[in-house]
Amino acid sequence: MKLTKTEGYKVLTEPLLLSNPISTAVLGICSALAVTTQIIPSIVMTLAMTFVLSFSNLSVSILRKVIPSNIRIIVELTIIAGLVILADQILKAFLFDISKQLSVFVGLIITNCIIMGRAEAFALGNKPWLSFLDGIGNGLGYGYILVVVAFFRELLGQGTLFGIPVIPTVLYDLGYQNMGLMVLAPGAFIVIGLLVWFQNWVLDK
Amino acid sequence: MSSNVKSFLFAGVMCLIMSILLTSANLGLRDRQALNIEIDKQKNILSVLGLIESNKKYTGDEINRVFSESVEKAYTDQSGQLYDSSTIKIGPSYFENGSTIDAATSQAIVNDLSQSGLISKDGYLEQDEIKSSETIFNALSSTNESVKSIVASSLEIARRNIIYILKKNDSIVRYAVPVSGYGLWSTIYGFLALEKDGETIAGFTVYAHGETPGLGGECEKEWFKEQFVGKKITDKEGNFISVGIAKGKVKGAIPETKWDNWVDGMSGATITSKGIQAFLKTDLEKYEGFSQILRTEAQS
Repeated sequence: MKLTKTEGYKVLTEPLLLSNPISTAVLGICSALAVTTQIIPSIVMTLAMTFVLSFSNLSVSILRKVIPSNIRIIVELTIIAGLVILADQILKAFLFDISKQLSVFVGLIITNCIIMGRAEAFALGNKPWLSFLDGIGNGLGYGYILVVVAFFRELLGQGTLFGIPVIPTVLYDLGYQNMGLMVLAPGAFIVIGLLVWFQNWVLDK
Repeated sequence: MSSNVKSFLFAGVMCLIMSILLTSANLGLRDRQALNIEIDKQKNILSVLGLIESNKKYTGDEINRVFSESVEKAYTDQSGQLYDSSTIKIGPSYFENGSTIDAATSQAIVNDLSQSGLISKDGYLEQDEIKSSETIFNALSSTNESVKSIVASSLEIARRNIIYILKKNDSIVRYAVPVSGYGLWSTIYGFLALEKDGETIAGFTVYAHGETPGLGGECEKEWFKEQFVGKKITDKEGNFISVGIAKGKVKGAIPETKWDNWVDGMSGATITSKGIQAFLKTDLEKYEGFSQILRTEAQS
């Protein structure tokens, strides 16, 4: 059997494009608007999110046969909340500046509907390994949108990429200005909207 | 086993495992986090004193080195004197003042205070230990009301507050003081730096807060912080009035003669703005003794 035919591969790659959590299911928009002003925080957010998502999927899947169904949601939430606090603690210890920049949004991963959605829709009915891959796939699918949005917002809004100025000063001398709108949340709405449109247009062909 | 019992049992075990996991993570990472917070604080002091650029990256060691080389940490009370340490020595005659409190009464007060544990056996009072006047009142059993209030206010005056001084060739260039207080959701922590004239603000920074991003959270943004630079904490006559945060833009909300004392507010964050305005005033007031001395020096 070829690698591309295995179930694991399918589970991992499908959320990247075809069933992308942001651009197709339009979940997790809040944090996608908030942290995408620059690329580096977006990448860190993606890593934190993927960490939480894959391990919450894994734990929920391992426990799926013993979780009493009447407190199912609470148990899922406890697992997710625990992992988020863990991620937050690690960021505070090793990436302090970025954790300050992400501020409350790390904590708000708990309320990100992608995680709850994947635990309910996938992990409860699938084996641990597949659920883990599904978590990574969805995390990266989320992250790829974040980074693309952040690329445009940082480039147009601040004239930098990864914090390094890339717009030549000559352009500024000629009257070019950074687009203030891109730094604000509405800028993210517009970029995400265009991205969804573009993706649907490509997929339709 | 009924399904309810099973649910409770499961929930209990779940909570136990989660709490053990999180506690051990917190214990393991605590020192590193504390170090990061300390460096971040030093970085904020340096940036408010104008020693580093806010958008440049510095390593922890660099921050630490610059901080210990150029910033002098001291304590000051309302008289404006500088001290090396925050501990006050209270001898038997500390409260003696000629008219209302004689030597014997002063001795009795000191005994009361040390018996109730407010000062240590050998007469040292830590600055954090200066309790509210109520606690002091309760501790003093052997004196009357008027003496109690004299004692409470003299301890209040003696309260020493930390101050960070930037010196060049032994003369003061700028000084930074910690400011903190309530916003809307959280306590906001920051520093405010003043020039050597004791009235012009050299910088303002916020290093920890829990306000809503985009609304009250704007208080840590450049646009908000940099407006403080050049503002005055005194009115035209030189009296202390602190600096105010306007509702909306200063132009329009505040008469032109007072523009020196006001900065633009954050839209959608009236309570955060009011909170900052209030704690800037109470905290700057603690350093008025020191600032006044500098103002008098600057005029002469």
